[in-house]
Amino acid sequence: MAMRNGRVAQIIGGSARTTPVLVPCSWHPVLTTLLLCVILLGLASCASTDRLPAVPLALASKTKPLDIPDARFYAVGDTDRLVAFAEKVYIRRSRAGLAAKPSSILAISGGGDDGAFGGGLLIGWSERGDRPEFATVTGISTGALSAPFAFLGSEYDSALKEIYTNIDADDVFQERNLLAVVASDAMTDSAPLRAMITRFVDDRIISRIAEEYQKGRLLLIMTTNLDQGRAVIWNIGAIAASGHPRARKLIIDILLASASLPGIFPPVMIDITVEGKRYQEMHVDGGAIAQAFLYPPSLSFKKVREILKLDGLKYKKHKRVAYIIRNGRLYRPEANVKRSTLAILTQTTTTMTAASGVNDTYRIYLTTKRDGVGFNLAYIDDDFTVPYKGPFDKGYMRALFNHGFQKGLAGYPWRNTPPGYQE
Amino acid sequence: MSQRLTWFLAGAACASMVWFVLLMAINQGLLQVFMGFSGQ
Repeated sequence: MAMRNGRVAQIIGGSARTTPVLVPCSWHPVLTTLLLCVILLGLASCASTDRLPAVPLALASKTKPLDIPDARFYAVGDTDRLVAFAEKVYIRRSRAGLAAKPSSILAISGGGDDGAFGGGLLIGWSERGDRPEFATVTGISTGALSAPFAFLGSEYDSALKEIYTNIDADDVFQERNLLAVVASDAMTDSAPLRAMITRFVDDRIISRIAEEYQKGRLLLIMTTNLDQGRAVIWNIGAIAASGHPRARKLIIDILLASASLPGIFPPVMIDITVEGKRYQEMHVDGGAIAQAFLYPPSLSFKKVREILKLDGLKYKKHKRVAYIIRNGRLYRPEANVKRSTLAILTQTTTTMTAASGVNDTYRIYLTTKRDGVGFNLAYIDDDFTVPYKGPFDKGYMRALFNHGFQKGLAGYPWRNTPPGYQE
Repeated sequence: MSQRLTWFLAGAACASMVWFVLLMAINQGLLQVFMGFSGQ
């Protein structure tokens, strides 16, 4: 210490002779502190990025979250399981006296804060008095957050309204530090969104979903299993009806995962045990694969009817109608794109997402045509002119909610073909 | 020597500020890019 003090004294004295030796020794504490800060910041960002190995694709068909039967299906490659499940659902609907009644399917798309459009439309439709009780409700991303309320009917309209008119960015995410983009799994923390989902999806909602599931009604949510690059359709009713002590947490995880925009929100890790070994699946926004879905095209009603006949059950013909709410515009608004990498990337991702939404309507239309299901499409049209002000801006969301509400109240002019399609 | 140290620290502070502003700009840009996945 005395030696060090001596050296400091020499620096102050400005001795040229001692400079080569003394400079590194004197700066050492400063550099060490800086280095420590960087390391600590890095460690803080990296702390939560550990994970268990992904489920090998060869074992994927053996996975059963919480050991719940029919808890989920792959959108592609699960045809036999889907047909068998559809038969079970038909039998449940028959027992509930619903098999011969007209059935409606509602698909709510992703779209971030544009989900306010669908929320408003559904509530306006309720107020109008002719919103059906949907036999099946599907949701992706923001659509996954509104789907449980749409599924349970107008008694949950106030919750739906609150989600889209009473929140802002702070209720959805918290920005992380500047190193998060390289040292973490997302640029923001979705803890506020998890807290909000946890507040809304309480035990009462879980038991109501379970009750409706027993009648053959379905609530389906899509996430993307990023390890496998496959869409997963979660059967929320089966999970709710399982009575498993961790069922509610799994449902919250699924809703959060479905709304977890990659890069912005962290992925949701779902623990899976297969053949005694523990794995983890990484799930992100279902919008990475599709903006909206009705049911997998691999599930043909003709096939279901054949299976029912083979099992000695009579299929009762009934009217089926699909409603697709696209929480977004069909085409991205025009822009004078700057010649900069980030501006070009931004406009490209927006364009790809809008185009993906249009492509989904064609896939859904093809499926409905094959199965004799009515096709109805709603979307944000050019008559909504309030400018976008940034993620989850309360003013923008309220204006869009009111726009959807007024349209729903007046009777939405549903479009019966995909955009640009001529019969 | 103390002057050199002062200049070094001042330079380091300026460089840090430039990096900070640059990182902020890149972060905001990337945030916009990723928001594109939601259609915005």
